[in-house]
Amino acid sequence: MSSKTAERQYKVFRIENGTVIDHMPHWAARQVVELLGLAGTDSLVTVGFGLQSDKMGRKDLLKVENRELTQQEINRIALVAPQATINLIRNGQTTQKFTVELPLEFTGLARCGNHGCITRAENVPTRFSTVSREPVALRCHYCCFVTRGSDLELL
Amino acid sequence: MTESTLQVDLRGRSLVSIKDFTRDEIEHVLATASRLEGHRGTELAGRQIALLFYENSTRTRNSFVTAVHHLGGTLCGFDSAEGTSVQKGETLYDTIQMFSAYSDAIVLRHPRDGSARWAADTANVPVINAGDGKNQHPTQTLLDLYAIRGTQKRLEGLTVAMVGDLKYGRTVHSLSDALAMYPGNRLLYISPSSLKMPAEQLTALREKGVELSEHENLEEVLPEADVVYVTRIQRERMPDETEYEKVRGAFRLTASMLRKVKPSLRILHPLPRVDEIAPDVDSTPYAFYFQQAAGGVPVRKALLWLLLGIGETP
Repeated sequence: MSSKTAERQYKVFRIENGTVIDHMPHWAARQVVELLGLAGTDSLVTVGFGLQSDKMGRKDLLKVENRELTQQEINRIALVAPQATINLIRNGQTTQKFTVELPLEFTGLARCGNHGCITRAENVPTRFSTVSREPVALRCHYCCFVTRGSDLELL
Repeated sequence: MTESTLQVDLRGRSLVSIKDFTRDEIEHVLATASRLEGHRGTELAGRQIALLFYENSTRTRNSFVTAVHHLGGTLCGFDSAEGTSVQKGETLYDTIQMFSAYSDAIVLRHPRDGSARWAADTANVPVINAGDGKNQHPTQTLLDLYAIRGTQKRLEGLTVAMVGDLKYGRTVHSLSDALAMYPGNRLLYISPSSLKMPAEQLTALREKGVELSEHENLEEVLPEADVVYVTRIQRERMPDETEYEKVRGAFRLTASMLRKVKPSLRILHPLPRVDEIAPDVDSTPYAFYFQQAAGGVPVRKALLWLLLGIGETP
């Protein structure tokens, strides 16, 4: 995509206040809409599926008006779109831009992929250490099983 | 006792995975076990150990029972979930809270992977993992190390052959991790191709500098080995009966295969054995599996001694 086209597209969907989530893998935006609970809300949400990207080939992009993300939400995005960039927009200006980064250790967010794990049988909050951010691989604190991207079930 | 082990203090700690202990801490447990061989005392008088066995176990449970008796402690708990509040639907968390109040330490065997870590995180007494599903069984690893050190007089510079079900065999995985803490060990893995060591663990072991190799012929590696660690191949792990019969024969150790081995070779097995070691091996000088299992008592005495902070050994 030329910079001119990119600029035009950006202007078409320009938002005054809110969040732009860029550089998501193609079709990951659907999952992000779901995990942020955007469907059925009043927020103005703009979704771009399969946009051209020099870095990624095709990418998805999501703009959400009047919504700033919590750290926990950003961590959830990192599970499905490890290269995603978050742009925080205030008064039409980008005030913050960063790439999501899954913490080295965290609780919740996903289920352990081991069906024999204690977290699958009892009310035990899941807890992981990050083995790899991309592709995502998480080690369960309890059973040590490593769950990989494609097997990941989000909570 | 070496200078480094003098500084080891395991009071109040839990043991969930062998990796929870450093090499010095493992050494300290083994040295303590050695001093407690044959020891009978009252050091645990007035203290109670909860044995919470959600699954049946013969050796592990009875060696803990024996260890507690040898130190004069009392026991509470259950040896299967049947007939307990567990059957009424009590959670592991609730059971652990109760037994934390009744006892000074909890020994837990549970069918769920990761249950022991959850218990250790939420109990306010030390928790010893006596097997959590297919995950960890660290006291078995300690007694395996105790047997190796007892027979070879060292835990480094050894060639250890591990035979059988290397894919699902948790004892093999933990023993490999433990031997990787010591320099110069060579690990030889002998298994049918469908039951090989998980690739991820092999990579992790190589990264630690362990020299390892994979084989499908048991007899050809025997002359090099200082220790042969045999495990059972379970019928349910094999795709069909024909394959099981084939594998069962190929990975069976018999006395006639031991003609060219080192005189110091010792054969270990976590037990129970089915027929992967022929009975004619029992009377050779290389068989050590029954002595190995007997070592479970001093090793578990040592663990209770150290985690409960009894103090100087006799």
